[in-house]
Amino acid sequence: MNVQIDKVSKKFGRVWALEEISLDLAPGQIVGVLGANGAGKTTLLNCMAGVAAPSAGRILYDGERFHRGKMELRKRLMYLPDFPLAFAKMNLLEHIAMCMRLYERPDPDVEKVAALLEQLSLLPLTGMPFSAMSRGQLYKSALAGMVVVDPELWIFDEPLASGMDPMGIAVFKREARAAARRGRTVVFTTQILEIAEKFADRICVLDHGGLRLNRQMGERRGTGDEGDLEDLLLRLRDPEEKA
Amino acid sequence: MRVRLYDAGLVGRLRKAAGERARESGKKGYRKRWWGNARAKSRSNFLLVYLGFVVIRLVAARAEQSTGMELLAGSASLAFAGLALQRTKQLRQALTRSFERVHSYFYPVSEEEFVERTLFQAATNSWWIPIVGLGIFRALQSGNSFEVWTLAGLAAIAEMLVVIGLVFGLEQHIEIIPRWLPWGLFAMAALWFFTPQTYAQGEQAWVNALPTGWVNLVMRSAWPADVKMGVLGGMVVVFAAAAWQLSKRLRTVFVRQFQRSLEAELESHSMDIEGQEDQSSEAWRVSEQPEADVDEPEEAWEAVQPLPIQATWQKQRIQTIGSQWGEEVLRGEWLRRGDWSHAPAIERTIGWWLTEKEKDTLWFLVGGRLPEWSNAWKNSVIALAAGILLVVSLPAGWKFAGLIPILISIGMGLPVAGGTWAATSPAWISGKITPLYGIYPLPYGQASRVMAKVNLTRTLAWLPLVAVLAVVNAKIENGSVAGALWLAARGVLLWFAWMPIAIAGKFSKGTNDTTLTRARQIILVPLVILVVSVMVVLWAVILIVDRPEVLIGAVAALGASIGVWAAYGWWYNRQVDLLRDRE
Repeated sequence: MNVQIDKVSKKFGRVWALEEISLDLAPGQIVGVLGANGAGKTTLLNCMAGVAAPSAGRILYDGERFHRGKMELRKRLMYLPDFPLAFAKMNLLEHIAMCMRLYERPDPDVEKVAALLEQLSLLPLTGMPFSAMSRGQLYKSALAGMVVVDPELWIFDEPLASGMDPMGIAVFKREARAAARRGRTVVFTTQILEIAEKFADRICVLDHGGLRLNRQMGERRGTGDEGDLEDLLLRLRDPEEKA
Repeated sequence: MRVRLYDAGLVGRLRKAAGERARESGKKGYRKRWWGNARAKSRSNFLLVYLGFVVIRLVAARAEQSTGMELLAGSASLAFAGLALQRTKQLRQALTRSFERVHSYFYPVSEEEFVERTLFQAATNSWWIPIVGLGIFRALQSGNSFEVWTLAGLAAIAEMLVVIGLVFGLEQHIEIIPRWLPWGLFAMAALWFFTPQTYAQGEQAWVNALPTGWVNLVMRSAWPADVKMGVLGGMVVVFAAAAWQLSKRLRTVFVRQFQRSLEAELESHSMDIEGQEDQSSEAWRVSEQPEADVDEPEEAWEAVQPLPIQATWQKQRIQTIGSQWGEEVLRGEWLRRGDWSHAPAIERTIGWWLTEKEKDTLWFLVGGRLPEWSNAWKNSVIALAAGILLVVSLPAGWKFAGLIPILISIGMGLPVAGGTWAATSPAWISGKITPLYGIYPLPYGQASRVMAKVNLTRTLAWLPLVAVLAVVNAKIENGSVAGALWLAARGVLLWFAWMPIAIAGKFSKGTNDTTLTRARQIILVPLVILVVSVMVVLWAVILIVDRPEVLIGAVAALGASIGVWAAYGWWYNRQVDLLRDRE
């Protein structure tokens, strides 16, 4: 899915959480959104997913303007917040079935579902209600739902700090990479710079609601400046440097 | 040096410094607006609703001055009793499970200080009670002299102190108070206001026997004004002293309980540590034993002794491959849609009416667990039968008691506030609150249609009970059955007209629509007021006008209601956030 974010701003009360963000994301990319706490990363994802409405600007998916009521577009994207939203009494299989119906997908290949759940160590938990799961298990369950639905735009908020075990993170990376190869767009936020640099195809750095860096990682890899993201983030928050 | 956690001066200085720092960096800081969390202020909402009742009733009671005032006094006693119980529960929450409580464990705050501050807050949050009380106790008297206002003021302060005293006094016995009782008392207070004289007497001994009714007893007594003033002044002093003593006692009890739990915790920890020391000394002894395999190569040891984490994973893999869980996934039963043909009557009817897509939407709205609507209908019939029995058998003026089960029956059988939907319940998302459906593609129109179909089916299932109620009321009031049925029919029309707005409200509750501060609200707010006014007038017309032409009013009201629903849907889809601040 082609994502075009055109001068999007978002105001909460008197605070501008996003200020005229413009961004074009081509299909088949893994995009890492970085920034300090309060930089506007989650707000950007919330706007992209229709949870929040931009105060100004517009978001276009494949050239069509997006808002919460555009169900055809909403069914082409899926959002996994830092703490997945799921019904406490539902179990994993019910959740996946519900996602399939809500996103109007045909019934999945059950063997592939079983294999995925096995890889995520979730098979023994298929009958367990979400209320009894740990945060990491819940995130892995929601991730399983997203992988089975396979939307065109995958949006993750802090998947690497979601409480998932190394197996879960490995599955996340593998599935995100495979999705990008299939032409899906994957957007995720993180604070772990090393992983973002190695895993993402494109890095966007936000600070105080503004886009400070938007760079294709291929341009950076091999130039010897891979490690300077940390310096950049520190400089953005240093008032003297900014001056 | 003792540092007070809640040092207002320090907080002010820190806020000022942070503001200056933010200004230097060219950013505006976060500032909460006083109207920002309107939903959180259930107390204020209660106050508004209650004052609304008072005004309506006072206007309606002009013709029957004495009875109206008696009803007001009784209703106020019930409402304040409900408020005291509700605030007792809130205080328990603040002392045991609140955000501040949990965080206080991680900071060097003494238990005395925490409890003291929480009790102080509970008391100061009652500032508005004298204001409401002044209005009520002023309305109970005639004339406009200084004496009248002084009496009303003293009564209002005494009422506030009674509520505070009740909160502190009942705190330790909160477990024996049923959860529904506070709201039951609120409902009774509202019912009391609008119940015909046949059902409720103006004053009843049991209402004035409540502690919150003592002030009313004095105010409604035949004593001279100066005696009343003396008694009320004495009550203020006594209630203030009692509230103070009860707060001190409560503080002592809570601090003592905390110390005991701390001691028990420390004791159990010391036992754990002793146990661990025993185990580690055992392990030490084992490791001191001569090792026979000390010369074994390292690779061989790793092969025999995998790391514990590997062992766990290996075990799990062995368990899951080809296991019952894997078989369950492979069978694919979980992908099949529910069978509605064997569901109980109401659910079956709903299933028959909904399309396949709508069924999927309903399945999501109810969180994968279909509510037992038929069962709720049966229970509502039982409650209604009990209520009617009481209404018929109790003497005139005491029939009020029968209205309570009838009210419960309506609550169980009908979707009073648009129905209960699991998908609209609140959930956490990045530090804010969103409705659970927030991240899923739930269409406003289709979800509303599903809610409307379910609510309509449930309402139609309840219609025979409405007819029964109308007939019973006609018998008690000695009116005609046809007239009562016609009134009930108009009530049903009003109910249907209300439904689209109630459904829009289901979506509204998960948004920040009431806290948006955009310029366009200047246009929207008067528009909403206009629409609501039109709706109220139309609804009043439906109930009051006794001619067949009222059907035109009903259709107009339904049209206006659908218009509000559609306009809200447009706004909901484009302008509002599915995010609210934590309450």
